[in-house]
Amino acid sequence: MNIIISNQSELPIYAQIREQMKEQILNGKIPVGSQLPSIRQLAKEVGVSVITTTRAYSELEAEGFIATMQGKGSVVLSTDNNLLREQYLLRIEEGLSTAIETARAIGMTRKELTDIFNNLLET
Amino acid sequence: MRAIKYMKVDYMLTKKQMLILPLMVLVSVMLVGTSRDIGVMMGCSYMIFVGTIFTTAPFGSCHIKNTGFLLMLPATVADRVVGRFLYGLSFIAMVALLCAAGMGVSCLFGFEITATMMGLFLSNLALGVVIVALEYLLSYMLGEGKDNWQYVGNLVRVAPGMAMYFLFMFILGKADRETYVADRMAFLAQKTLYAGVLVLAVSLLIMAASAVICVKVIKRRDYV
Amino acid sequence: MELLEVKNLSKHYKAFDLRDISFTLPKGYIMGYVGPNGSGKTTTLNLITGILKCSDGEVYINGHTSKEDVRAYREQIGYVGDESYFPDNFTAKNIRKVLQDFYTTFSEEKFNSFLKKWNLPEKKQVKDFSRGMKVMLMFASVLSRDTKLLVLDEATNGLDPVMRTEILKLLQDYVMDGQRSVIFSTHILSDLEQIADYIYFIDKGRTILYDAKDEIIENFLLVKGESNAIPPALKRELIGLEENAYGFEALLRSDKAELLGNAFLVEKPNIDKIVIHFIKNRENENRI
Repeated sequence: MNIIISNQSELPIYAQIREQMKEQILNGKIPVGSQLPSIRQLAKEVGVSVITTTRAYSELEAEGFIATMQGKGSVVLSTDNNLLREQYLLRIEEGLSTAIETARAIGMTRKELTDIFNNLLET
Repeated sequence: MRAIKYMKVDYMLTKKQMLILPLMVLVSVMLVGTSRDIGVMMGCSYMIFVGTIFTTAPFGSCHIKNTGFLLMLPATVADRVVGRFLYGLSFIAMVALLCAAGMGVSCLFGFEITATMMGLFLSNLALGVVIVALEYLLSYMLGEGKDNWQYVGNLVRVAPGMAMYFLFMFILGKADRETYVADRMAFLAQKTLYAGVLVLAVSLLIMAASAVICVKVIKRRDYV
Repeated sequence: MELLEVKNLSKHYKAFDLRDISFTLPKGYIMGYVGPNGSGKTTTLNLITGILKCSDGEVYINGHTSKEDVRAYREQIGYVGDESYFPDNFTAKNIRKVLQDFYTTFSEEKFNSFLKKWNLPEKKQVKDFSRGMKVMLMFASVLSRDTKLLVLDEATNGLDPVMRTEILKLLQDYVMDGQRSVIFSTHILSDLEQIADYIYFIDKGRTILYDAKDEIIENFLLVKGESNAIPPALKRELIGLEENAYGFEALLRSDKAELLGNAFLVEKPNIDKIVIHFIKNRENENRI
């Protein structure tokens, strides 16, 4: 697991931790069922406050990525469920909408845009 | 028993002066040789004078900033103050023992310690104790380790002891001439001795009273 | 469970007044006590350790005041100041002796291992120590016994970054078991800001802000832009407006963000910026 905190980032630190863990759960770098470090341990390793780390964990838990059991720490839940598929869908939509927005901004036609899209799919 | 621990701390704080103590003893011994009859007493008087200076040394040994460690130890104000008084008393007791040893040795060399001399010695010791008690009180009232104390302190530490020393030099000189007359009147000699013991007892009471007042002074002030 | 509870703490001096400081610090957390020089940080910490007597209010550590049992109270506290508080002529050996005599939970083994780890000589007098060595000796003396609350008064001032990082890790280790807490004062917030869970911010002896650090940072925005573009409705809400020839910088409460439009550059502030602009705000008000 890698967590890299940037002070320059506009994202608050808890959100940086949340996003990076989510990313690594989604791409399998943090395997399903694996045990996560305790909140206090992670806080110390990353050098951030306990409250910040607690918030990252509880948000991950609310989104269904991890489960925390009293006294047993936190484990990564299966990525096979619909919830995660939704997360992926959301990301794809986000990416595409940025592309469309940019295209509109420079007055690109629908045809030109779909051409780029199709070309990219081929490669 | 934390008072005794504080007493040990005071000895740690002032360990440097313990190294010059033998030098002071040497000076006293040299004084002994200056006069055949009252030499030993002069030496003792000098040792008591040195004692009054040394016993107040912990107050000037460090600045308030550097006493935080000692002020924050898990102990009460009374522990700390009584510890300081125990340091003072134990030091004076050590001086008294050194004097007693000196007298013992001089007796071996054929000197004679008369009852009058002994009475004077005890009175001198008692005056020393009172001076220490008052200096401690003054130190705590001014605030130990405070800047103003650093300057005033040295004068306060030396002056009363010095005055006492010269006073007893004067008395001893007088007594030297009259001592044989007095000793021939055994009754008077006994009186002087008893008076000495009494004065010493009173001085110890003054010391205890001073300790009680010091604790009150600190409890009433702004910081511990 | 609260480890430290400070209730309406006040201290009156002729020229300075510390008034109504109140907060709680739960077990296992770190609080940064911040403010400019002379704001009352040291006074507050001295009132907490009990070295100074308060004019009003109360301090509880694990539910007990120092008046109940001063020895037990002090056993629980580890204090590190910005300057050495050891007698000048003491050596590490002397200090070990005193610690051993007075503290029931002192571990000689731990103390010695700290001396070794930080290369602190046993027989050298404290007055000949470098600043860094003095600080580490203070840390060695408090970490080698079982305390519940660390009180640090500007303890990392003037230390090099390597040492500061080491102390940072020490503090996080200290609260790791969730039973012990740290309160540290500072006027330069950098690395320490990162590990603080709570921030208490005072200025001129008065409370300005007190909250979880993340909340404080989220509650404010740092706004920059051209001075003449500020609409009056926005100007009223700006905190600590600082203008120069080329633009302005100020703080704004996040819930007032709708006043901004998109004419300005908006950033996430750090605690330093929040402190600076609140001080600036006070100065601006004084001028009016």
